[in-house]
Amino acid sequence: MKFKKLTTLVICGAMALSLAACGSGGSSSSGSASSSAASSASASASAKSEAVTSSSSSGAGESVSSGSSASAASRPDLSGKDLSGLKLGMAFRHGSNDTYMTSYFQHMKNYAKTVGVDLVLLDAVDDVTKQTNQVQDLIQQKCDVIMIWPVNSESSVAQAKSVQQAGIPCLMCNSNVTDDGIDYTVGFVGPDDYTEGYNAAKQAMTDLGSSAKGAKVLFVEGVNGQQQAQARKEGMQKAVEEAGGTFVDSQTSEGKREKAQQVAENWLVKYPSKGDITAIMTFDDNTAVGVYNAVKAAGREGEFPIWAAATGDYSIISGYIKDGKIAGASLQSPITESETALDWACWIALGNDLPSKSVFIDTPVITKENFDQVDQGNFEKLI
Amino acid sequence: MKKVTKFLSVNTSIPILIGIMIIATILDVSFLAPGNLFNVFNQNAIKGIMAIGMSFVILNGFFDMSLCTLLSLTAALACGLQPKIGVAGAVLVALLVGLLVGIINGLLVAYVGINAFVVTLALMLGCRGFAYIYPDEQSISATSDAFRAFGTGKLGPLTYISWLYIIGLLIAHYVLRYTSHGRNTYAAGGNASAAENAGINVRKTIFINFVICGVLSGLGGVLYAAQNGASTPALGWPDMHMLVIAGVVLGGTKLSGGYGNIWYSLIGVMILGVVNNIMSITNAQPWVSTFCTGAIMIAVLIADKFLSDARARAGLKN
Amino acid sequence: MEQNKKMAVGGFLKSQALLLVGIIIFIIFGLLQHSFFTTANVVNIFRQIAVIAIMGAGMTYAIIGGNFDLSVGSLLSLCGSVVIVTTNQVGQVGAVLITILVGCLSGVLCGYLCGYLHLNSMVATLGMMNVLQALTLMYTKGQFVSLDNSDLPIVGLGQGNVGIVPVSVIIMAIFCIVFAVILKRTVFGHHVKAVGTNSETCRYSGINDNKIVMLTFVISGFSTAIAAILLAMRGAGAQPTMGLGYEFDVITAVILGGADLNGGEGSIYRTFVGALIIGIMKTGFVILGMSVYYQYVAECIIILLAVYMDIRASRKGVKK
Repeated sequence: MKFKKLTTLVICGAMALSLAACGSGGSSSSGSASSSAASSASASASAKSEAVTSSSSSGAGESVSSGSSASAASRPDLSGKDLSGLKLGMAFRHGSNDTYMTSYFQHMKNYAKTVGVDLVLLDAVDDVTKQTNQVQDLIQQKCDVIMIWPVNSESSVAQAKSVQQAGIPCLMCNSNVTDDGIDYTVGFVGPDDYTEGYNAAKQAMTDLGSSAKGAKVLFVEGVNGQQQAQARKEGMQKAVEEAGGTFVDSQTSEGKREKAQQVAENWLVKYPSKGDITAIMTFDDNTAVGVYNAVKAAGREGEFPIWAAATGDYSIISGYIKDGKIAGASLQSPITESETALDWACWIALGNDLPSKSVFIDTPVITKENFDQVDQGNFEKLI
Repeated sequence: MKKVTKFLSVNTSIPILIGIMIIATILDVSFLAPGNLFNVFNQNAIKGIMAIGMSFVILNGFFDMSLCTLLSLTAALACGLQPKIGVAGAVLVALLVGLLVGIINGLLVAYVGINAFVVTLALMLGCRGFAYIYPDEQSISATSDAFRAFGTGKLGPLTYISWLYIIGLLIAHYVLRYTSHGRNTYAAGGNASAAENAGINVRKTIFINFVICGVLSGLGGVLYAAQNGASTPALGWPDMHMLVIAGVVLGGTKLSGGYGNIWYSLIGVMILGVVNNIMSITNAQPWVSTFCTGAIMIAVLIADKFLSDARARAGLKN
Repeated sequence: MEQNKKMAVGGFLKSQALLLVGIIIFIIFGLLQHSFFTTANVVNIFRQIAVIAIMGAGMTYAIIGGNFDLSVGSLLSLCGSVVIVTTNQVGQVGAVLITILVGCLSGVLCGYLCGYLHLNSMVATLGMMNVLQALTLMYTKGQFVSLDNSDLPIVGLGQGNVGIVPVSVIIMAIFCIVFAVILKRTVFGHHVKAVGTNSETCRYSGINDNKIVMLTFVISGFSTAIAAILLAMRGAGAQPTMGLGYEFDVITAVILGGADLNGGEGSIYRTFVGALIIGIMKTGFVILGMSVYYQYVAECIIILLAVYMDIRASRKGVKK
């Protein structure tokens, strides 16, 4: 029996060794089912150009960040700087929930290799207790800068505080801490969720024209208690109410496409006649496709527009927004965002400051009409 | 030397833990840095506290599924009630809710005789509902600085929560070894009808153990809220209770009851904690981390099975 | 014989009581919101429970055999992704066969761990859940996978209708009926019940209890594979975290259906009614515009009431 014990121990060890080795050694390609679509249908965008457009307006009083924001998504000038000695750590929210987050995660890893920095990238799979532990691990590994994309903004205040107390600059990415934690961070790099929601909904109401007043809008929420989803909802609601409409119903999709489909199916039963629904808005593109599937299956395609607060999945942009199945959304490019965040983290690690407390990345509204004019953010890099 | 070998062959989870730690050191020597080792202990202290409660129930031959959502509910209460009735009041209410859930579990399992899985699953669903309804599906930030300071503060290399865990382990050890309730727990878990015939009030024992588990699970939620400075509705979902049960079982306590002790839960929780730590240190791909956690759980179960079969064949007892 | 008759009558009453509860809940929701009483809504409810009902049928076998299968949620994610990707690669028929194979293989592995090695099924299937989730992530690289050609006939499994009845509902009905018949009328079904009641005596009677337990897990895996195909085809795509949390809904359905979690008793029909109750409540709260989470509180109360009444009834029976 001692032999059996030894064998099992050796097997466990060999398993762990081999898996960890192939895990950290091999760099996974970020190819995906959508990559072939991206390569054939991507717009021009060869250089690292910023998404500049006229339709985005500055946020109407976003609740999260304080201080002035940089006007366009500027990137620091890192040419000629030696980045090889830098060690960065990132506590990531969920690297595999949907294509946008996965693209961000994978590209962050690859870009760090290209740039030559040592990046420790940990995935909390949407578990706040796991993220707290991972932040502690990053502190223990003595990173020069720690980036956090929080699972939960309220909880990340304590995390940011512990990073600051360890003497490490803490940079928030893509989703910010709540107001009482701002002082523990050196800043925020990412899209402005409230503005995204506001702009997308504002465009939606403008497109509705005369039906905007008294509009009956249904809203599909994201994961409960998640600040990004909440900010987008508030932004959309503000724009809808400004144009004279109301959110008649609002339900959670838990961030899953097929749950959004179920919610939409139930609504289509509750509001069976034409004119009952003026528009359906969702917090992201993934759930918008779920809603579209339900609408198409019920044969009510075209009765009302479907809008998403934000989109970051190229297969959805080229498959659904291009031909108007989804009317529009604010465009987020996981490529631009991950690269910008990493660039600024390197900048901070070299001893510099952010140009302002919040560096917002532009998120233009993309629709069928302006599809070819909007810079789609280098999606071909995902191949 | 013989004594040590015998000790290790009976308490099989210890060599397993040592083996995993050796593998960790081979993969990255910084694992052994004292700062990292203390880190691992601190990170798993709250799970450990909940594992103490779960150990009492498992030694009695049952398990408690309501843990995962109960802790979300108590976290929300501990944060949400602070502005109204102060920190002490909020924490007290949260613990009382844990007590209440433990009482309901205990009553239904011990006195009405419903299957523990059904009762605790039902309570889990109920707590999940309330954990979202009470805070209106939102996260709540804790307003009290003292509360947050307790959750993150350190005394030496260990956090206050870790010290609390150590105190909890010592108290639990005393109760299990030196009190009649402890002896009754083992007896009832090993063979309930024999225990009944021996004059032990088995129902009362079961009831008390579920209450202990409920209070400690509630405490776990409060501590998570203190550590994070906020409560999240999804805290602990979907499988915190399974990780705690796995921690207890991996340490060597038998799920059928009557065999094990509180130190096994410490070892089991640390095994899982070390595995997570290895994943962070080696910057492993996320799927590798999930795969290894699952594979190791199964591997340790198999190893334990071989070893306990061998033990049974050799005629060794508890 | 008298005892058997009493038990049969008791079981029949239990089933009908459950269905009655479901109908009452349905009526209450309908009174609060008239659109609940429409045909479209009823069709909706049946369509939405198809996945849980099919998985529940398989899980009932595992539970009657005395084990839990917590890996079904992750297996749902894995099979959903597999069917989409393999349809793109090898066509529909190959995809369905491969997905069923994956489901059965997972069942074989779980069955081996729990049936032959006699590991604790809760912790062992929890480990499998992690392993399967990791395999799903590795397989899909975390991406949402979609069908290249969404006009294939296989999509009709998830989206098609025969008249007003969705194809998935028809499949669910056939599935449940076949599984119920196997459980009640075949020797295998009786063996499963016997093993769940007392596996040791079964061995003395010459029943290979290890093999029976393994087969119950294979059935559970097979059902999950079929359910995954239906679920993935509803949107012609699969998210890697699609099945997260499904195992609790499925087990709740089986428990609502009154299966004995110690093993030895259960019925596919009652599991189906359990799934139906869950579906009615899920839909009901959405249509009422209330927080979906009230459903969990309702389920908690219903389970406890149902089990409490069950215990009272059996106590009365024993006392006589």
